Amino acid sequence: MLIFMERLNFKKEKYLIAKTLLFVGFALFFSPMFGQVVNGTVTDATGATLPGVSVTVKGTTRGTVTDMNGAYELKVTPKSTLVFSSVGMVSKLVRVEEKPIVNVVLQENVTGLGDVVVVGYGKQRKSSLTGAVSAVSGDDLLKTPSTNVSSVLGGRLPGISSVQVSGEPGDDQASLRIRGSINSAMYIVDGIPRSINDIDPNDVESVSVLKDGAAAAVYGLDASGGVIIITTKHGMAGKTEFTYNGTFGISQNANFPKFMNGPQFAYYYNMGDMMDKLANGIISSSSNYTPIFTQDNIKEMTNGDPTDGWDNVDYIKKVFGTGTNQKHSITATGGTDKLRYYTSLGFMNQSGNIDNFNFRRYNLRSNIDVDVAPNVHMILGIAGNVDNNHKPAFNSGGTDSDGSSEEGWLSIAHQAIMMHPYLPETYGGLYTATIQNNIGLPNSPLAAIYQSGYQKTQSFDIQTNLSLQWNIPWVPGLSLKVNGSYDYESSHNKNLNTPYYVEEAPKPAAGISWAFVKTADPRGISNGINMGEGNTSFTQLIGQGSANYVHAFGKNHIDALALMEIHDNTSYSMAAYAKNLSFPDLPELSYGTATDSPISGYSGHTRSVGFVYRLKYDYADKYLAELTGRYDGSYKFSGNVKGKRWGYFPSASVAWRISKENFMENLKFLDDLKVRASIGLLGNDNVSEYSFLSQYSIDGQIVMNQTLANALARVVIANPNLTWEKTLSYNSGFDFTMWGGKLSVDFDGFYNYTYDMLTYNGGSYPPSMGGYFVSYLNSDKMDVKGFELTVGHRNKLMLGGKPFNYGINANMTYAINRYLKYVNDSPNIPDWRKHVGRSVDANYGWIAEGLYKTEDEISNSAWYGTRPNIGDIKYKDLNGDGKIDDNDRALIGRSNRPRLTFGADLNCSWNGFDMDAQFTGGTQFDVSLTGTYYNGNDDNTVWTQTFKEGANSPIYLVKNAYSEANPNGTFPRITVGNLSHGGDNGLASTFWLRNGRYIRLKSAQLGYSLPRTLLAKVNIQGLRLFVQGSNIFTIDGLPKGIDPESPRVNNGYYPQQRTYMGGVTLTF
Amino acid sequence: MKIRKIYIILLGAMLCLVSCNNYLTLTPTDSASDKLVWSSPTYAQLAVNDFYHYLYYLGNFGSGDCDAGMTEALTDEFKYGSANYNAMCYIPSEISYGGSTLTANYVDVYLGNWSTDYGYICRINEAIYKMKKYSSFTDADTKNLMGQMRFFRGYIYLDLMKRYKQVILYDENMDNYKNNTALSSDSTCWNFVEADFEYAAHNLSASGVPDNGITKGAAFAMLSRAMLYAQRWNVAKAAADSVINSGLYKLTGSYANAQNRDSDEAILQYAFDTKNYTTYHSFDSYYAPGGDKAADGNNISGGYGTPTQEIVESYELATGGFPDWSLWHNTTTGTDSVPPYSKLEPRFAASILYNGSSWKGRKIEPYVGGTDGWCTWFVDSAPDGRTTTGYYLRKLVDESHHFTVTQNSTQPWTVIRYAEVLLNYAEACYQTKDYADANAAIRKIRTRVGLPYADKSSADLMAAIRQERKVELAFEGQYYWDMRRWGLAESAFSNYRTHGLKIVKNDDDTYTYTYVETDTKDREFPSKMYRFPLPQTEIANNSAVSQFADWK
Repeated sequence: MLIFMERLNFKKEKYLIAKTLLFVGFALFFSPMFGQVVNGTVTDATGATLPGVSVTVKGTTRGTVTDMNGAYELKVTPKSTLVFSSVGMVSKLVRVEEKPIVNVVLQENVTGLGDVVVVGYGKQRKSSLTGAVSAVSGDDLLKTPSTNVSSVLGGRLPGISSVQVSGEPGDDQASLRIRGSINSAMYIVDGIPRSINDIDPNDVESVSVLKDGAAAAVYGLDASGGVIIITTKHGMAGKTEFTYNGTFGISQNANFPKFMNGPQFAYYYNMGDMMDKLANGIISSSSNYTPIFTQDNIKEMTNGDPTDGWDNVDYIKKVFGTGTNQKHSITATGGTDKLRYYTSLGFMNQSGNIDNFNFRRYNLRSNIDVDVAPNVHMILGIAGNVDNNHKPAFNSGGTDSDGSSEEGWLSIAHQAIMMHPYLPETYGGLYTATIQNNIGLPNSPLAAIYQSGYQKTQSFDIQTNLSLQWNIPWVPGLSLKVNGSYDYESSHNKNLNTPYYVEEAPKPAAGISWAFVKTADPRGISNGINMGEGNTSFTQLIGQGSANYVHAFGKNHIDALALMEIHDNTSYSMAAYAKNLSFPDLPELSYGTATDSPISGYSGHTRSVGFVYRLKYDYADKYLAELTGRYDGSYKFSGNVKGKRWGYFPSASVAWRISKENFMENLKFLDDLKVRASIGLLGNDNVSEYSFLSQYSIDGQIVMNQTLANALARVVIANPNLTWEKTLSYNSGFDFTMWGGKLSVDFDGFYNYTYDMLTYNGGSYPPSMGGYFVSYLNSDKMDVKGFELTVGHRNKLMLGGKPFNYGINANMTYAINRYLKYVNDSPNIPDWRKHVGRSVDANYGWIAEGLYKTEDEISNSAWYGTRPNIGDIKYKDLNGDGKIDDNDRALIGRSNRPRLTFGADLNCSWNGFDMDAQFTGGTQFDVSLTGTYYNGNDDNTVWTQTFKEGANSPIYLVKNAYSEANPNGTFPRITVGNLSHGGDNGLASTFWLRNGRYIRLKSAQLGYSLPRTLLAKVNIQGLRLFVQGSNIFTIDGLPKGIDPESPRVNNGYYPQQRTYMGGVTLTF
Repeated sequence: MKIRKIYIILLGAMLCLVSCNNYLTLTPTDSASDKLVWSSPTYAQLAVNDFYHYLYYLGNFGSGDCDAGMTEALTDEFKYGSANYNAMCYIPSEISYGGSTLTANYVDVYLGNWSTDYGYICRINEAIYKMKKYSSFTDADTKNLMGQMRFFRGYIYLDLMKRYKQVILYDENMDNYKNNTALSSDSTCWNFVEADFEYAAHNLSASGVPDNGITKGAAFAMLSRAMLYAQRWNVAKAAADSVINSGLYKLTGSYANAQNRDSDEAILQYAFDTKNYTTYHSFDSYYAPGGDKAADGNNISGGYGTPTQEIVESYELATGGFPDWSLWHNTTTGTDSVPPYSKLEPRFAASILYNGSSWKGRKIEPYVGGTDGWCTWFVDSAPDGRTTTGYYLRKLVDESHHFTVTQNSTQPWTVIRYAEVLLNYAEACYQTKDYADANAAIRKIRTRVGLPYADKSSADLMAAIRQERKVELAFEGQYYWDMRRWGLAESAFSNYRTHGLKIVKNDDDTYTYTYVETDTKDREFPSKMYRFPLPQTEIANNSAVSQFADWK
């Protein structure tokens, strides 16, 4: 692998050098002659030189950037005006007037108003925004330790809710939603829709979130869930500057419930067994009970001798240990005023806190900006990454993001929970195992981790884009741009399964001999050593052509954009499987024989086309207005039915900068006050491909006359009238800053109305129709309303003669959604079962009324199935028919995402020290104790049923379960699973929903930058040392160890990680 | 300048590309259009092939007949051993206990087939509709395809009728598919079923091969079964007669071979791929004796369900007449006497594995601590393949299948066989007072297994027919439905418990057999179970129907 990387880099370097030479050639050729050379130095108010300040000639794109010493040099005409601008500084305009040296002092921009924010297909000053856009700089992202960008955005920015359901290396991204939308956000990287998972956070210049229709409508297609734009770093002119960034750290489970140890298991298992026998009438009183685990057994557990077949092992700890991670990146940036480059090379290695989980990533990114000619600007961006993901042959655990499914009865996390703590790790040289009742298979987490084989994925992604901008000389202000992008992603995957044997312990039962039985791998051994190998690839080709016109007359400014975009994506995958390999050391298909179903493959092809315009107008930077529109076509809708394939998505927004009015002049404390309002339409084509066509596809085989024959089945019932789902989005808000930035407030209220929702049809038809109605249609309606508030405070004090800077930035978002129309609501059902007016995230379930306390109470209640016992859950008989059944289910619960989310960032710096702490939190949401399925049937998971299918149980559950010893228990009756109605406690009900409100210290960082004066002696620009942590603590009201952000339904999962890291940033 | 030229060319090229709506018109890469499928009889057959899956679904190897496990477990014949709350574990017992558990929703989940069956019917109707719309096949091709499709439609409606007694009828006129459609009268429904099977029987070609598509014989055979449910005795008799007189089928010499692939007796079989195991089922892993896990590499425990003492006692002595089992009904001390297994008629040993049966080169050990083992139901809740009755299932389980070679089972599912047609014939003859033909058919069945038979009439004859159906067709998914059809389920399956023999091996290598109950409470069959409830979703969305009175 390393060799491969080196070769790749070598090739890439050569390529870059060649390209660079070519561009330099161009640049010299086109370089025009100017009147004079001006140079100078840019400093801040304290006199420190400012590198990286952009210096441009007003009205042109000509310019340069100051070097590391704040110096610049530029050829100009005497009448030129130079614009000096830099992030965080107030821009300054200076007329040259034949002066050879122009030195400039820039003031710090405490209000942030001058900041440039990336918006759809362009950039705007924050002060001139009319839509709802939040932005964060890449530097801020780095304050939270993470390997991917998605998991640091939640809490940093208002309007985003984030759920991270797995801590597995390489699979630890967060799922982000904007403003209560049910659609996921669209991700744009450097102008192109792309995944953000493999971006090195070090490469990120800025992140923008487009939240309302006015901001997002330019993306039309699929922008209904909002848009997240990531822009990567570009080069600065000057001497090449290198930055090395390295971190090392450790990771552990942030949250995981504590499970029983051996003696506890024995005690509670006996208790559960006795309670079951009492309920079933097998014994009449507890005094007749003969325990399964005897005192002798418990002595053997604690005698410290595992060879007797008994021990006391914490298998959760054995499985989840401490992981390590390291990250290194080196960036180089520099160039001339004609050619600037940014290049970075990154390496990351995460060893999970479960052994044999390893994720390694190599990143390369290169952005080259070239002024090919005075009026022609070219940007070449190339990014690539190679990911290596290694896991055992068993998955770590459930990773569902929508809670609808639960992965893997045999996942490692579940096997760890299954393991009985009284078993020694090994017996007779083999790992021990417990039997899982429902599938009768042995569970041995250690064998699964160390002996099962592996799943290896190596992916290789390359992303390129090339854009050319031509400022037409004879029409000032008009520029044309083309941007082409070609992305190729491929992954190669090899899974090897090596069968193993374990010593299986018997299920605890009265009077058994506790003898181990040698048992084969739960996956079976009949295929011997077997493997699968496959390839997938994805290519995305995007072309954009645009014209932009900027013009000012008097105090009027206009900015117009017209753009056309085409997408063409193709994908394919293929895989092959072999069995009975001779030995695991040669895991090649050729060394095995074909399995029962040895091959598979598919391909896909998608296209879309869009036309975009934007008109921006302002008068005196005081009255601002913007009109945008996008006309989009999608291959998912029929071209033969008029008006279905193409959708038009317009938006309009206005803003008024009140603080610019004359009558506000006296209010000196007010830096800026702006009110905004917008309306926009967004689209969504998220529906199964070709739902407008009637089709057949392969549905297995049959054997006819001893010959295999394919069977074809109808796939969908076509709806040729299928068209865009639309979201009408309203937003209004205000921003103000006061006292020189000491207080800033942004407020937005929003209302999003989604209609013609692409809905899977069927719920309101009788099953006797056999599904004979269109499979998808434009039907449902929903809305989301809410508000966002961001309050910031920044200040500078003097402390011990040195400036002490500090800032607090707190944000909060409230979003509540509901259905306005729901086609799948059946006509003949009671109101409490209808979706209209209820939260989009509500699910069907029963309403629990606590636990039964007396036999009388049971006799006077309706119940589900057979008569319950004291300590079982009592359900509400909603329809009053004297029994609890499916008809008593109502739509219960709120979302598993908070309606109200908070984020707070505290930071300060003093004398080289800097500190940052990021809190996140949420309230008004329900956490299911990860035990109830919402499919209408009942089931329990290990989190809600004691000894579920023979598993170990979390302490909170057994300690608080009702039993004879604990008649006031708050959790249902303890059981070992031998009660006919025991499963009824696991019905999806309000009993298992808990208020999920929480506050979490998501990250904290403390850094120290060595004084420059010291470093200058060794020719180092900057050296900063830091320590940081993530998921440091959480305050919530859930049982200990249950994470408010855990997946909704699971039987064990790879929890979010708490990490501690130390690192260094070195610039030279 | 060059760059500008390139610019203009690029912009122009893009405009050209997108100027056309056709750019967005793509063809699916993983599916075929209706038109293509129905353009040739070869392609059309691929669409019809899909309906063959329904034969598997509704058989004992599939889950469609009863989602909780084999319907025999809802009778006195069979017991699932695990107390876990799962299908093929506790739930079948729970259904047989009756009581308040049997809510409309519960029964719909495990025994209602309404939604699935109607989904199938819709697909068949769509196919017939599309064939009429798109195809221009020869008359022979049309009849062959149409015959198959109408067989399947009749087959699914039969399944619905035996569960619900009255159903909603939809034919291939797809315009009739509407939200609020009422149930049709039972005679209209049976007319529909009869017409479909009649069409198939008169338009499909005759062949004795059971696993090469639907044949004329299969259609007549299934018609004879359906018409017993419809109580249209003359139609049933004539249909059975057509099968018998075709001369294509005969009883196999050995009862044990009746289920074999392509046996003389099989009329319709759903086959599996025996070479590559790409299509297979898992019946053996669930029902093979528990000892197969250790002895033959079954990767699950096996022994999920086992035959009861009640079915064992239903077998006659090889010489005719029933043995006296009272010695083995001792519930306290048990008895050391060996039960008269070896003296029973051959259908017993071909259907049930007992203590000492030969199996895959070993002896079955269903005793406490034996290779296969014994487990007391509910007290010892982890049977892990051990029997709770003292027996294991042999019929339908493939002894030649070795789990070490593959976990996958490939023995065919026999959808209908000649012996059943003879029994259908006998019953139809009895109902039409044609006792001679009824007796002749019963005699054929008994002669094959060497049992004597004396001609009977009236109630005795019907009792003999019931006895032969119970024993001959044991574990083939008929008994529960026959007992419902005869109106005997309520009396036979209420207020009783099933039994097993707990076997303990003594030090002198003898065995002690103790008569034990396999349940901890009585079984009940409430009369409402004669007709299953409509699913809630039908009532919620179809204003033209309401729940059957018993289920309100």
